[in-house]
Amino acid sequence: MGEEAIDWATCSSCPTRRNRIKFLLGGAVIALAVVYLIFTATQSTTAYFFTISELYTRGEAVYDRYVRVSGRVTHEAIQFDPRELILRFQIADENGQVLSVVFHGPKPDQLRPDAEAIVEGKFDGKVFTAQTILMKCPSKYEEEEKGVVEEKAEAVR
Amino acid sequence: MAADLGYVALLLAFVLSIFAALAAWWGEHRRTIELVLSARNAVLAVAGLLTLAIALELYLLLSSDFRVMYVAQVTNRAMPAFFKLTALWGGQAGSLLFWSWLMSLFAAVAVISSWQRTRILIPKVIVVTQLTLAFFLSLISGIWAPLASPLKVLGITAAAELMAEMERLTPFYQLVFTPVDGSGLNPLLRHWGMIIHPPLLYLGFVGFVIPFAFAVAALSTCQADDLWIRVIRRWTLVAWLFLSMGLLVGMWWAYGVLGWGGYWGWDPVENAALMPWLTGTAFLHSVIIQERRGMFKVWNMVLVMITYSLVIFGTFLTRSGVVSSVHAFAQSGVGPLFLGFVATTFVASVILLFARLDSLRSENALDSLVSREAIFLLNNLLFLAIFFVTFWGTIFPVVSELLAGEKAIVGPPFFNQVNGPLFGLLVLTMGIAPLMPWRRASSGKLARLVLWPILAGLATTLGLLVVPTLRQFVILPGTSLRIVPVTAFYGLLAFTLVVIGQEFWRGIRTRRRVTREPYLTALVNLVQHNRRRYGGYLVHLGVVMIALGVVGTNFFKVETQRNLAQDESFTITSPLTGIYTVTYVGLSTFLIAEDVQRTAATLRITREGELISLLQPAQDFFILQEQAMTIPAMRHSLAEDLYIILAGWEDGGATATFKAFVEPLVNWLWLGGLVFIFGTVVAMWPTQVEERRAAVAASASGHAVVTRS
Repeated sequence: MGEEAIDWATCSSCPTRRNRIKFLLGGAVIALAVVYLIFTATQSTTAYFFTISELYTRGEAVYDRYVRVSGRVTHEAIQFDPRELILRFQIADENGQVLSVVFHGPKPDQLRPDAEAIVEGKFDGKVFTAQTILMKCPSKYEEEEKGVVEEKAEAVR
Repeated sequence: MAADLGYVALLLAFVLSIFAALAAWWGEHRRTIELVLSARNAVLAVAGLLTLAIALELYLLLSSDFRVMYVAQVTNRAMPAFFKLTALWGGQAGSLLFWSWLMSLFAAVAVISSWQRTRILIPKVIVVTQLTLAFFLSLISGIWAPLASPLKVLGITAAAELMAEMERLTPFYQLVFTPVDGSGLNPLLRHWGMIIHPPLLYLGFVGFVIPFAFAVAALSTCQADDLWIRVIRRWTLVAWLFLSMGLLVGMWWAYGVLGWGGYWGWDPVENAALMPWLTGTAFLHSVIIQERRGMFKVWNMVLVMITYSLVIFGTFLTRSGVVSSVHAFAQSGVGPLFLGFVATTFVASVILLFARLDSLRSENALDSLVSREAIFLLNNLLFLAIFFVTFWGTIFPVVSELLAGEKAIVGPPFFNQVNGPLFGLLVLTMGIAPLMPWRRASSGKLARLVLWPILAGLATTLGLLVVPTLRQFVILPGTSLRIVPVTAFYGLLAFTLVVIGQEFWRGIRTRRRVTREPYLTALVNLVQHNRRRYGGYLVHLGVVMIALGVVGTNFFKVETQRNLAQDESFTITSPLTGIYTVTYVGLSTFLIAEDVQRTAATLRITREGELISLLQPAQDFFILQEQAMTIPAMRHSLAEDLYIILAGWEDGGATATFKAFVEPLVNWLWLGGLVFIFGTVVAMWPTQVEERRAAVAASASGHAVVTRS
């Protein structure tokens, strides 16, 4: 009789333990799925920041990658065809390395020589095709809010 | 004079807040009620002093006393008085003062209102709130500036410079000269949305400090039963309501004012406000399980602690310049101090949690995977997963630079890819949860309850996939790949919607069976006598509507960009309503205020040859600030918005460039937001009177059925 009672006790505690395992397994599956999602999405959506010099040294390795490059707009002519919305200009880094940029979209107002531009897009070895242009300008405000010191333009195609 | 007085008030408030924390601590330790009473009075005095400081700052702003640096930074003479007042939270120092003031008021109200019921918790609540407050006050009272010289001696010059700058962060800091005029408030912020957005967010942030204070008090006094949970329920809901409103108003402003055709960009600062909302929402749900079943106690503590840390971390993200954000404050010494504070409080609360783990033993175990508890657990895991994804994406640039030495970011595609499916699952749990009985579900009953919702969901998904006239709405040229997730999501929404409807219907039917009321009366009474439950359902309804808008704008948004000569036109095809033709009529320039020049293009919008609207997208030029601002023009309807921006013009308007968006279902997002807020207010409205009345009515008519939840 005594042994039976002990059996009873273990049996009644069994389901909870099995439940706990079930829940831990379920939680683990969710956690793994989320980690997997994060991992793959991080790999496929990371945009690297490069200086123009870095972009050139990396060469072909970055040709198909979405990258972000910043530099000052040079004094070379800024060409803009408003009808077709094609914008061509050059940016340079402190080492004097120059990058030609083409952008299909409206010309940001702040885009003028010596302004700081951040371009995002792809480089094919010759020309950088920008998807977005972000213009940074000195602000009079201590607090910099969205769109003030930065002007963003996005490509049409 | 006023500035000196204000500074003195600020310093006194700082000293008194520390005194309050020490006195409360010592008073509890020594069981000396006089000390605790003294601490309580100090809490009130701090609130009074900060109210005085705020009043003085407002006076300085109104009187344009530009000798005070903050006034010169955020206002100018030309600004209307109203904007001068709201400039209080337009800059770093002022918004920190505002934050502190709200914190002091919340603390005072919490201490006074809980004094009778939960006196045992009060000392520690005072300690936590006043230490948090003291930290914020230390930032704006120049306390850290004297650290500059020893740091310099030690050779840490960068830190020394940051600390030295802290002296000027005081909202009462006076320049040695008086500038003729100030810089003025950023034109983008001169909008009611931007005026109420920061206070709403701050109220939300500050509000979450109170639950944390009670949680810590409950833990450290070994009173971690249900007492603290009951006390903080309304505080949590209030904080959550303000945070939700802050997020919604911010989205609305971004959409209507910023002119980029979107409302959410997964920017670090947006994420900073979203993250505590996510963990706070998880807490609101899991706390129900603790109330009902005495489970998830440790989990709830963890959620409160994380939420508090995220509130401080969010403030840090916004103000430190660590993560480059489009709307970050300029870099300052505030950053490292915040990081230090958030790390200290987080570690301290984790240690406290482990020390008191014994008192948080669960009273019940999970019985079955098919139960409401299990669904709530799943819902919590999903909220935490979304939080973690957002956190990872936000700090990724920092991690990448530290570990890989490469500067890199993940943009909106990352967040959408990962969080999208998780949000979908969340809607599913939201739909199922109300159907699930506690403990374990009997399959027969469950099947009966899910029958209609599942049929509705399947019908929606299949209908959208199969019926040709509906199918055209979910297929865009070249984007057929998305059709499965999109239709599945709409199916989910239909499922959830029917669940909510069914819940209301069941409630009304049960009521009517007893009371024979007309339907509408039954509905009103049902909600009134069970506000928490049906308010919750209303919130869920709001979420479904918001999701409808989010899915619509994310998957079916159409955009085009064209340069037009006068009388030229372009077309843009809406997936829901057909083709719009947009014709450029002309451009005109005129002054709309003394210092604001508007350039507006007139566009004729036609559909099948019929004029449906005239739109005037514009650019405002703020002459003093030399700054342009885009004013989008919109044609609203329940189906969609036609949203047009004037992107540029040439030769005085001979040609102009336009960007046009069709934003399907976007207005459901804003309407859903209203329902969401209404639902929250219903859920948290004081119910004492109602409960008493309901109890009387229930005992009179013998129906306990309607109050079952």
